[in-house]
Amino acid sequence: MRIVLDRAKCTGIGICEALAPTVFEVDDHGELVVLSAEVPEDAQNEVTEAVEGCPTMALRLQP
Amino acid sequence: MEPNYPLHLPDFYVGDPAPAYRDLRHNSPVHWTSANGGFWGITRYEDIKFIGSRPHLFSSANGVLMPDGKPRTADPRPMLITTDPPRHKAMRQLISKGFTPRHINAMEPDIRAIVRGVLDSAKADIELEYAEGIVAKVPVRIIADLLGAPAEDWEQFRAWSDASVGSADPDIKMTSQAAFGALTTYFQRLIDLRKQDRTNDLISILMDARVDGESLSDDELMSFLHLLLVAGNETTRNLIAMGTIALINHPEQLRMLVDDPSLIPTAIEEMLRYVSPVTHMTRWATEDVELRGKTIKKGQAVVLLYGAANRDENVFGDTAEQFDITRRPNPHLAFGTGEHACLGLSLARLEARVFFEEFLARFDRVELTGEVLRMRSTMVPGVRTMHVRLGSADERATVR
Repeated sequence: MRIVLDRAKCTGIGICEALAPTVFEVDDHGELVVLSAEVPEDAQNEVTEAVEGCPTMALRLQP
Repeated sequence: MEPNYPLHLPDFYVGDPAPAYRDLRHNSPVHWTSANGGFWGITRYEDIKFIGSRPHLFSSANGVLMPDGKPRTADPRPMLITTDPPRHKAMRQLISKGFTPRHINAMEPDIRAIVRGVLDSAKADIELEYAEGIVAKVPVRIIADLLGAPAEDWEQFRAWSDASVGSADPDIKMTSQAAFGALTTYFQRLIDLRKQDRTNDLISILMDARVDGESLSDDELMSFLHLLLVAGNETTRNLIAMGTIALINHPEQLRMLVDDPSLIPTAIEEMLRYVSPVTHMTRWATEDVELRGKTIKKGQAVVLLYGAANRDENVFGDTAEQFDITRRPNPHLAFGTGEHACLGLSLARLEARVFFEEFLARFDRVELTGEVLRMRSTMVPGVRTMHVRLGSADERATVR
Protein backbone atom coordinates (compact mmCIF):
# COMPACT_ATOMS: atom_id res chain seq x y z
CA MET A 1 0.00 0.00 0.00
CA ARG A 2 1.16 3.52 -0.84
CA ILE A 3 0.51 6.60 1.29
CA VAL A 4 -0.99 9.50 -0.67
CA LEU A 5 -0.88 12.99 0.86
CA ASP A 6 -3.13 15.84 -0.31
CA ARG A 7 -1.15 18.97 0.56
CA ALA A 8 -4.12 21.22 -0.15
CA LYS A 9 -5.91 19.64 2.81
CA CYS A 10 -3.02 19.15 5.24
CA THR A 11 -2.71 21.75 8.03
CA GLY A 12 0.46 20.25 9.48
CA ILE A 13 -0.93 19.56 12.95
CA GLY A 14 0.90 16.23 13.14
CA ILE A 15 -1.75 13.84 14.45
CA CYS A 16 -0.30 11.31 11.99
CA GLU A 17 3.16 11.89 13.43
CA ALA A 18 1.88 11.23 16.94
CA LEU A 19 0.30 7.95 15.80
CA ALA A 20 3.01 6.75 13.39
CA PRO A 21 6.24 8.64 14.09
CA THR A 22 8.37 6.36 11.90
CA VAL A 23 6.34 7.29 8.82
CA PHE A 24 5.23 10.91 9.28
CA GLU A 25 7.10 14.01 10.42
CA VAL A 26 6.11 17.66 10.41
CA ASP A 27 9.24 19.69 9.67
CA ASP A 28 10.34 23.08 10.96
CA HIS A 29 8.36 24.87 8.24
CA GLY A 30 5.14 23.15 9.31
CA GLU A 31 5.14 20.91 6.21
CA LEU A 32 4.33 17.23 6.55
CA VAL A 33 7.08 14.91 5.30
CA VAL A 34 6.07 11.33 4.48
CA LEU A 35 9.21 9.39 5.40
CA SER A 36 8.17 6.21 3.65
CA ALA A 37 5.88 6.26 0.60
CA GLU A 38 5.16 2.56 1.03
CA VAL A 39 3.51 1.47 4.28
CA PRO A 40 6.19 -0.43 6.24
CA GLU A 41 5.27 -4.01 7.18
CA ASP A 42 5.72 -3.35 10.89
CA ALA A 43 3.71 -0.08 10.98
CA GLN A 44 0.50 -1.04 9.18
CA ASN A 45 -1.83 -0.56 12.15
CA GLU A 46 -0.32 2.79 13.11
CA VAL A 47 -0.49 4.08 9.54
CA THR A 48 -4.12 2.97 9.19
CA GLU A 49 -4.95 4.80 12.44
CA ALA A 50 -3.08 7.87 11.20
CA VAL A 51 -4.95 7.88 7.88
CA GLU A 52 -8.31 7.44 9.60
CA GLY A 53 -7.41 9.89 12.34
CA CYS A 54 -6.48 12.79 10.06
CA PRO A 55 -9.05 15.50 10.85
CA THR A 56 -8.77 17.03 7.38
CA MET A 57 -8.78 13.73 5.49
CA ALA A 58 -5.49 14.69 3.85
CA LEU A 59 -4.15 11.12 3.85
CA ARG A 60 -5.29 8.03 2.01
CA LEU A 61 -3.95 4.60 1.17
CA GLN A 62 -3.66 3.38 -2.42
CA PRO A 63 -3.16 -0.29 -3.29
CA MET B 1 -43.49 13.50 18.78
CA GLU B 2 -39.90 14.69 18.68
CA PRO B 3 -37.91 14.65 21.90
CA ASN B 4 -37.43 17.95 23.68
CA TYR B 5 -34.24 18.72 25.59
CA PRO B 6 -32.87 22.06 26.87
CA LEU B 7 -29.72 21.95 24.72
CA HIS B 8 -29.24 25.70 25.31
CA LEU B 9 -28.88 25.44 29.11
CA PRO B 10 -25.72 24.74 31.19
CA ASP B 11 -27.73 22.41 33.47
CA PHE B 12 -28.24 20.01 30.57
CA TYR B 13 -24.45 19.53 30.24
CA VAL B 14 -23.66 19.61 33.96
CA GLY B 15 -26.11 16.74 34.49
CA ASP B 16 -25.64 13.47 32.63
CA PRO B 17 -26.50 14.22 29.00
CA ALA B 18 -25.75 10.65 27.81
CA PRO B 19 -29.37 9.33 27.86
CA ALA B 20 -30.60 12.41 25.98
CA TYR B 21 -27.74 12.08 23.48
CA ARG B 22 -28.69 8.44 22.86
CA ASP B 23 -32.34 9.36 22.29
CA LEU B 24 -31.36 12.16 19.89
CA ARG B 25 -28.90 9.99 17.93
CA HIS B 26 -31.62 7.39 17.42
CA ASN B 27 -34.75 9.48 17.03
CA SER B 28 -33.79 13.00 15.97
CA PRO B 29 -30.15 13.16 14.84
CA VAL B 30 -30.62 16.55 13.20
CA HIS B 31 -32.64 18.16 15.95
CA TRP B 32 -34.22 21.62 15.95
CA THR B 33 -34.25 23.56 19.22
CA SER B 34 -36.24 26.78 19.11
CA ALA B 35 -34.56 28.41 22.14
CA ASN B 36 -32.15 31.33 21.63
CA GLY B 37 -33.35 32.08 18.12
CA GLY B 38 -33.14 28.42 17.14
CA PHE B 39 -30.35 26.01 16.20
CA TRP B 40 -29.81 22.46 14.99
CA GLY B 41 -28.25 19.94 17.40
CA ILE B 42 -26.14 17.30 15.58
CA THR B 43 -25.46 14.09 17.50
CA ARG B 44 -24.28 11.37 15.09
CA TYR B 45 -20.55 10.80 14.53
CA GLU B 46 -20.87 10.55 10.77
CA ASP B 47 -22.84 13.81 10.50
CA ILE B 48 -20.35 15.77 12.61
CA LYS B 49 -17.53 14.48 10.39
CA PHE B 50 -19.54 15.53 7.32
CA ILE B 51 -20.12 19.08 8.61
CA GLY B 52 -16.62 19.54 10.05
CA SER B 53 -14.98 18.66 6.75
CA ARG B 54 -17.03 21.20 4.74
CA PRO B 55 -16.02 24.64 6.01
CA HIS B 56 -17.28 26.29 2.79
CA LEU B 57 -20.78 24.99 3.49
CA PHE B 58 -20.60 25.36 7.28
CA SER B 59 -18.75 28.52 8.29
CA SER B 60 -17.20 29.45 11.64
CA ALA B 61 -17.19 33.20 11.00
CA ASN B 62 -20.21 34.01 13.21
CA GLY B 63 -18.64 32.36 16.23
CA VAL B 64 -18.30 28.85 17.62
CA LEU B 65 -20.33 29.20 20.82
CA MET B 66 -23.94 28.04 20.51
CA PRO B 67 -26.48 30.81 19.79
CA ASP B 68 -27.38 32.83 22.90
CA GLY B 69 -30.32 34.70 21.37
CA LYS B 70 -28.32 37.81 20.51
CA PRO B 71 -27.80 38.62 16.82
CA ARG B 72 -24.50 37.32 15.43
CA THR B 73 -22.39 38.88 12.74
CA ALA B 74 -18.90 38.05 11.55
CA ASP B 75 -16.19 39.45 13.83
CA PRO B 76 -14.32 42.19 11.94
CA ARG B 77 -11.12 40.99 13.65
CA PRO B 78 -11.59 37.23 13.66
CA MET B 79 -9.66 34.82 15.84
CA LEU B 80 -8.13 31.76 14.22
CA ILE B 81 -11.07 29.70 15.46
CA THR B 82 -13.59 31.98 13.68
CA THR B 83 -11.60 32.34 10.43
CA ASP B 84 -12.85 30.55 7.29
CA PRO B 85 -10.81 29.24 4.35
CA PRO B 86 -8.63 30.23 2.59
CA ARG B 87 -7.10 32.52 5.23
CA HIS B 88 -7.67 29.99 7.99
CA LYS B 89 -5.34 27.41 6.55
CA ALA B 90 -2.52 29.92 5.99
CA MET B 91 -2.77 31.28 9.54
CA ARG B 92 -3.24 27.86 11.00
CA GLN B 93 -0.21 26.41 9.29
CA LEU B 94 2.19 29.02 10.59
CA ILE B 95 0.85 28.82 14.11
CA SER B 96 0.82 25.01 14.06
CA LYS B 97 4.62 25.10 13.74
CA GLY B 98 4.69 25.85 17.44
CA PHE B 99 2.38 22.88 18.18
CA THR B 100 3.78 19.96 16.19
CA PRO B 101 4.44 16.75 18.13
CA ARG B 102 8.19 17.33 17.94
CA HIS B 103 7.98 20.89 19.22
CA ILE B 104 5.56 19.91 21.99
CA ASN B 105 7.46 16.78 23.05
CA ALA B 106 10.53 18.95 23.59
CA MET B 107 8.53 20.64 26.37
CA GLU B 108 8.13 17.43 28.36
CA PRO B 109 10.87 18.17 30.93
CA ASP B 110 9.40 21.65 31.60
CA ILE B 111 5.91 20.20 31.90
CA ARG B 112 7.08 17.46 34.25
CA ALA B 113 8.80 20.04 36.47
CA ILE B 114 5.61 22.13 36.58
CA VAL B 115 3.45 19.08 37.41
CA ARG B 116 5.87 17.97 40.15
CA GLY B 117 5.93 21.46 41.60
CA VAL B 118 2.14 21.46 41.82
CA LEU B 119 1.88 17.91 43.21
CA ASP B 120 4.48 18.67 45.90
CA SER B 121 1.75 20.63 47.70
CA ALA B 122 -0.65 17.64 47.74
CA LYS B 123 -0.55 15.54 50.90
CA ALA B 124 -2.00 12.08 51.50
CA ASP B 125 -4.66 11.16 54.09
CA ILE B 126 -6.15 14.62 54.52
CA GLU B 127 -9.14 16.16 52.78
CA LEU B 128 -8.01 18.55 50.05
CA GLU B 129 -9.55 20.44 47.18
CA TYR B 130 -8.39 18.91 43.91
CA ALA B 131 -9.84 20.82 40.90
CA GLU B 132 -8.99 24.39 41.83
CA GLY B 133 -6.17 23.61 44.25
CA ILE B 134 -4.18 21.14 42.13
CA VAL B 135 -5.41 20.45 38.59
CA ALA B 136 -6.14 24.04 37.56
CA LYS B 137 -2.60 25.17 38.32
CA VAL B 138 -1.05 22.89 35.72
CA PRO B 139 -2.43 24.10 32.34
CA VAL B 140 -2.28 27.79 33.20
CA ARG B 141 1.37 27.54 34.27
CA ILE B 142 2.22 25.64 31.11
CA ILE B 143 0.56 28.26 28.90
CA ALA B 144 2.24 31.06 30.82
CA ASP B 145 5.57 29.26 30.38
CA LEU B 146 4.87 28.67 26.68
CA LEU B 147 4.24 32.40 26.25
CA GLY B 148 7.43 33.28 28.08
CA ALA B 149 5.74 34.84 31.12
CA PRO B 150 8.06 34.74 34.14
CA ALA B 151 7.15 32.34 36.96
CA GLU B 152 6.46 35.14 39.46
CA ASP B 153 3.54 36.29 37.25
CA TRP B 154 1.83 32.89 37.03
CA GLU B 155 -0.64 33.27 39.90
CA GLN B 156 -1.73 36.73 38.78
CA PHE B 157 -2.01 35.42 35.25
CA ARG B 158 -4.21 32.60 36.48
CA ALA B 159 -6.57 34.91 38.39
CA TRP B 160 -7.12 36.99 35.24
CA SER B 161 -7.58 34.00 33.01
CA ASP B 162 -10.13 32.39 35.36
CA ALA B 163 -12.06 35.63 35.61
CA SER B 164 -11.95 36.25 31.86
CA VAL B 165 -13.85 33.02 31.11
CA GLY B 166 -15.84 32.77 34.34
CA SER B 167 -18.37 35.48 33.61
CA ALA B 168 -21.26 33.00 33.82
CA ASP B 169 -20.13 31.90 37.26
CA PRO B 170 -21.53 34.20 39.97
CA ASP B 171 -18.81 33.29 42.51
CA ILE B 172 -16.00 34.82 40.48
CA LYS B 173 -15.80 38.46 41.49
CA MET B 174 -13.76 40.28 38.82
CA THR B 175 -15.81 41.03 35.72
CA SER B 176 -14.73 39.20 32.58
CA GLN B 177 -14.27 42.53 30.77
CA ALA B 178 -11.93 43.80 33.49
CA ALA B 179 -9.94 40.55 33.40
CA PHE B 180 -9.81 40.63 29.60
CA GLY B 181 -8.45 44.18 29.78
CA ALA B 182 -5.80 43.23 32.34
CA LEU B 183 -4.68 40.31 30.18
CA THR B 184 -4.54 42.50 27.08
CA THR B 185 -2.28 44.96 28.90
CA TYR B 186 -0.11 42.10 30.11
CA PHE B 187 0.14 40.48 26.65
CA GLN B 188 1.01 43.85 25.12
CA ARG B 189 3.90 44.11 27.59
CA LEU B 190 5.17 40.68 26.53
CA ILE B 191 4.84 41.64 22.85
CA ASP B 192 6.73 44.90 23.42
CA LEU B 193 9.52 43.03 25.20
CA ARG B 194 9.83 40.63 22.24
CA LYS B 195 9.97 43.55 19.81
CA GLN B 196 13.26 44.50 21.41
CA ASP B 197 14.49 41.00 21.99
CA ARG B 198 13.23 37.80 20.35
CA THR B 199 13.52 34.51 22.27
CA ASN B 200 12.41 31.01 21.27
CA ASP B 201 8.98 31.31 22.90
CA LEU B 202 5.66 31.16 21.10
CA ILE B 203 5.17 34.93 20.91
CA SER B 204 8.52 35.24 19.11
CA ILE B 205 7.58 32.46 16.65
CA LEU B 206 4.29 34.21 15.91
CA MET B 207 5.95 37.62 15.48
CA ASP B 208 8.35 36.19 12.90
CA ALA B 209 5.56 34.40 11.03
CA ARG B 210 4.23 35.63 7.69
CA VAL B 211 0.79 35.04 6.11
CA ASP B 212 0.75 35.90 2.38
CA GLY B 213 4.01 37.77 2.93
CA GLU B 214 2.60 39.87 5.76
CA SER B 215 3.32 39.49 9.44
CA LEU B 216 0.45 39.21 11.90
CA SER B 217 -0.82 42.55 13.18
CA ASP B 218 -0.67 43.31 16.90
CA ASP B 219 -4.46 42.78 16.95
CA GLU B 220 -4.16 39.35 15.36
CA LEU B 221 -1.36 38.42 17.70
CA MET B 222 -3.40 39.61 20.67
CA SER B 223 -6.51 37.70 19.66
CA PHE B 224 -4.42 34.58 19.20
CA LEU B 225 -2.93 34.90 22.69
CA HIS B 226 -6.40 35.29 24.20
CA LEU B 227 -7.59 32.27 22.22
CA LEU B 228 -4.65 30.18 23.41
CA LEU B 229 -5.44 30.97 27.01
CA VAL B 230 -9.15 30.22 26.71
CA ALA B 231 -8.61 27.12 24.58
CA GLY B 232 -5.81 25.59 26.59
CA ASN B 233 -6.84 26.24 30.15
CA GLU B 234 -10.37 25.24 31.15
CA THR B 235 -10.37 22.41 28.62
CA THR B 236 -7.32 20.58 30.00
CA ARG B 237 -8.45 21.20 33.56
CA ASN B 238 -11.82 19.66 32.69
CA LEU B 239 -10.19 16.65 31.04
CA ILE B 240 -7.97 15.90 34.05
CA ALA B 241 -10.60 16.59 36.73
CA MET B 242 -13.46 14.74 35.01
CA GLY B 243 -11.02 12.01 33.96
CA THR B 244 -10.09 11.55 37.63
CA ILE B 245 -13.79 11.30 38.52
CA ALA B 246 -14.22 8.61 35.83
CA LEU B 247 -11.37 6.67 37.48
CA ILE B 248 -12.91 7.12 40.94
CA ASN B 249 -16.21 5.76 39.58
CA HIS B 250 -14.43 2.77 38.00
CA PRO B 251 -12.09 1.57 40.79
CA GLU B 252 -11.10 -1.59 38.92
CA GLN B 253 -9.77 0.57 36.07
CA LEU B 254 -7.93 2.89 38.45
CA ARG B 255 -6.26 -0.20 39.94
CA MET B 256 -5.34 -1.45 36.47
CA LEU B 257 -3.78 1.92 35.62
CA VAL B 258 -1.79 2.10 38.87
CA ASP B 259 -0.46 -1.41 38.26
CA ASP B 260 0.41 -0.73 34.61
CA PRO B 261 1.23 2.93 33.87
CA SER B 262 1.97 2.04 30.23
CA LEU B 263 -1.83 2.13 29.80
CA ILE B 264 -1.91 5.87 30.57
CA PRO B 265 -1.91 7.04 26.91
CA THR B 266 -4.91 4.86 25.94
CA ALA B 267 -6.59 5.78 29.24
CA ILE B 268 -6.28 9.45 28.29
CA GLU B 269 -7.85 8.82 24.88
CA GLU B 270 -10.73 7.13 26.69
CA MET B 271 -11.07 10.05 29.11
CA LEU B 272 -11.19 12.37 26.09
CA ARG B 273 -13.94 10.26 24.52
CA TYR B 274 -15.94 9.59 27.68
CA VAL B 275 -15.68 13.09 29.16
CA SER B 276 -15.61 15.11 25.91
CA PRO B 277 -14.34 18.19 27.79
CA VAL B 278 -15.57 20.61 25.10
CA THR B 279 -19.27 19.87 24.57
CA HIS B 280 -19.68 21.52 21.18
CA MET B 281 -18.59 23.87 18.44
CA THR B 282 -21.03 25.75 16.23
CA ARG B 283 -21.09 26.21 12.44
CA TRP B 284 -23.31 28.42 10.26
CA ALA B 285 -24.81 27.14 6.98
CA THR B 286 -23.74 29.23 3.99
CA GLU B 287 -26.57 27.78 1.86
CA ASP B 288 -29.57 25.48 2.31
CA VAL B 289 -28.39 21.95 3.09
CA GLU B 290 -30.46 18.74 3.29
CA LEU B 291 -29.39 16.40 6.09
CA ARG B 292 -31.31 13.30 7.24
CA GLY B 293 -34.55 14.61 5.79
CA LYS B 294 -34.27 18.04 7.42
CA THR B 295 -33.45 21.29 5.64
CA ILE B 296 -30.79 23.36 7.34
CA LYS B 297 -31.49 26.86 6.00
CA LYS B 298 -28.83 29.30 4.92
CA GLY B 299 -27.70 31.32 7.96
CA GLN B 300 -28.92 28.79 10.55
CA ALA B 301 -26.61 27.47 13.26
CA VAL B 302 -25.63 23.82 13.65
CA VAL B 303 -24.28 22.80 17.05
CA LEU B 304 -21.91 19.83 16.84
CA LEU B 305 -22.39 17.83 20.05
CA TYR B 306 -19.08 15.98 20.32
CA GLY B 307 -20.05 14.13 23.50
CA ALA B 308 -22.99 12.55 21.66
CA ALA B 309 -20.85 11.51 18.67
CA ASN B 310 -18.29 10.03 21.05
CA ARG B 311 -20.92 7.57 22.34
CA ASP B 312 -22.18 6.63 18.87
CA GLU B 313 -22.80 2.85 18.75
CA ASN B 314 -22.15 2.83 15.00
CA VAL B 315 -18.52 3.71 15.69
CA PHE B 316 -17.79 2.50 19.23
CA GLY B 317 -20.03 -0.59 19.20
CA ASP B 318 -21.91 -2.18 22.08
CA THR B 319 -19.50 -0.75 24.65
CA ALA B 320 -19.94 2.85 23.45
CA GLU B 321 -21.44 3.96 26.78
CA GLN B 322 -18.82 2.21 28.91
CA PHE B 323 -15.56 3.60 30.23
CA ASP B 324 -12.72 1.32 29.11
CA ILE B 325 -9.14 2.54 29.50
CA THR B 326 -7.86 -0.16 27.12
CA ARG B 327 -10.12 0.83 24.20
CA ARG B 328 -8.38 0.70 20.83
CA PRO B 329 -8.90 1.99 18.24
CA ASN B 330 -10.51 5.09 19.71
CA PRO B 331 -11.25 7.58 16.93
CA HIS B 332 -13.12 10.03 19.20
CA LEU B 333 -13.97 13.58 18.16
CA ALA B 334 -13.07 15.23 21.47
CA PHE B 335 -10.67 17.56 19.61
CA GLY B 336 -13.21 18.25 16.86
CA THR B 337 -12.72 17.38 13.22
CA GLY B 338 -11.83 19.17 10.00
CA GLU B 339 -9.41 22.02 9.54
CA HIS B 340 -10.45 23.63 12.84
CA ALA B 341 -9.55 20.50 14.85
CA CYS B 342 -7.84 21.48 18.11
CA LEU B 343 -4.41 22.95 17.45
CA GLY B 344 -3.27 22.15 20.98
CA LEU B 345 -4.11 18.47 20.97
CA SER B 346 -0.51 17.27 21.26
CA LEU B 347 0.01 19.62 24.19
CA ALA B 348 -3.22 18.51 25.89
CA ARG B 349 -2.29 14.84 25.53
CA LEU B 350 1.20 15.45 26.88
CA GLU B 351 -0.05 17.48 29.85
CA ALA B 352 -2.60 14.82 30.76
CA ARG B 353 -0.11 11.98 30.34
CA VAL B 354 2.57 13.61 32.49
CA PHE B 355 -0.02 14.62 35.07
CA PHE B 356 -1.36 11.08 35.50
CA GLU B 357 2.12 9.53 35.41
CA GLU B 358 3.27 11.76 38.25
CA PHE B 359 -0.01 11.69 40.15
CA LEU B 360 -0.47 7.91 40.13
CA ALA B 361 3.17 7.31 41.04
CA ARG B 362 2.55 9.28 44.24
CA PHE B 363 -1.07 8.45 45.00
CA ASP B 364 -2.63 5.13 44.12
CA ARG B 365 -5.97 5.72 45.85
CA VAL B 366 -8.38 8.61 45.37
CA GLU B 367 -11.76 9.02 47.01
CA LEU B 368 -14.32 11.80 46.88
CA THR B 369 -15.11 13.24 50.31
CA GLY B 370 -17.87 15.63 49.28
CA GLU B 371 -19.93 16.96 46.43
CA VAL B 372 -18.49 17.83 43.04
CA LEU B 373 -19.29 21.44 42.16
CA ARG B 374 -19.44 22.05 38.41
CA MET B 375 -18.89 25.13 36.22
CA ARG B 376 -22.17 26.35 34.78
CA SER B 377 -21.15 26.47 31.14
CA THR B 378 -22.66 25.10 27.95
CA MET B 379 -19.26 24.71 26.29
CA VAL B 380 -16.77 23.60 28.97
CA PRO B 381 -18.84 22.47 31.96
CA GLY B 382 -15.80 21.57 34.03
CA VAL B 383 -15.26 20.97 37.72
CA ARG B 384 -15.11 24.06 39.92
CA THR B 385 -14.29 22.25 43.14
CA MET B 386 -14.06 18.63 44.30
CA HIS B 387 -12.74 17.51 47.68
CA VAL B 388 -10.78 14.29 47.77
CA ARG B 389 -8.64 12.19 50.04
CA LEU B 390 -5.55 10.66 48.48
CA GLY B 391 -3.73 7.49 49.50
CA SER B 392 0.04 7.47 49.22
CA ALA B 393 1.53 4.90 46.87
CA ASP B 394 4.69 4.71 49.04
CA GLU B 395 2.70 3.82 52.13
CA ARG B 396 0.95 0.99 50.34
CA ALA B 397 4.29 -0.33 49.17
CA THR B 398 5.56 -0.26 52.76
CA VAL B 399 2.49 -2.09 54.09
CA ARG B 400 3.04 -4.79 51.51
